[in-house]
Amino acid sequence: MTAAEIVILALLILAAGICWMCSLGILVMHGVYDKLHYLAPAGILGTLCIAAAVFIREGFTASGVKVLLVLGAFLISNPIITQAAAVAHKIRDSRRSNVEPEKQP
Amino acid sequence: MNLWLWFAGLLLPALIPCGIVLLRGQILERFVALQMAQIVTVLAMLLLAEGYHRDIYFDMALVLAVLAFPAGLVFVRFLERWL
Repeated sequence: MTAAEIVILALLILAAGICWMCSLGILVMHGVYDKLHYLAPAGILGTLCIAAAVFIREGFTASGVKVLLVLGAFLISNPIITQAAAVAHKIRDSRRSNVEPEKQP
Repeated sequence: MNLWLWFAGLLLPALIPCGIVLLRGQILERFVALQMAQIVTVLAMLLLAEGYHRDIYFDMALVLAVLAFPAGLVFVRFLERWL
């Protein structure tokens, strides 16, 4: 195995480990806010590892550029979606707490 | 089978925990699980594209990554206001 293949293998193991941990975290954690935290490592770090592995293999070709574009898309969209989901949950919670006082004795 | 396809096969079962939350969770927990499933799918597609040495398969992963953003925003908008 060459040095590049060892680095690619290490990056792929890291990416798979991160994705698995994040998936299990979403299953195990309670509450929306806690689950939301697990989107970031998979979306950013996992994609970064795979993008680096593909870039090492392919170099600056069309495939390499496309993988970097995928990384860029996740870098931009992941934080925005996470924040929007947290705000939506807060709004739903506040709506529910405004309704519930009527039910209290 | 090469290394990339092995890791794609290793990554795809990570959709199972997302599926469990999609079936059993509350509505916003399901949304989070859906976003996670999209991320895992994009990463698996990248690995499959490299494993099969097909340049066009990278386009599928790119399109999914780009379209997941407005789709997620539409979901959040509906969850915030009307559902």
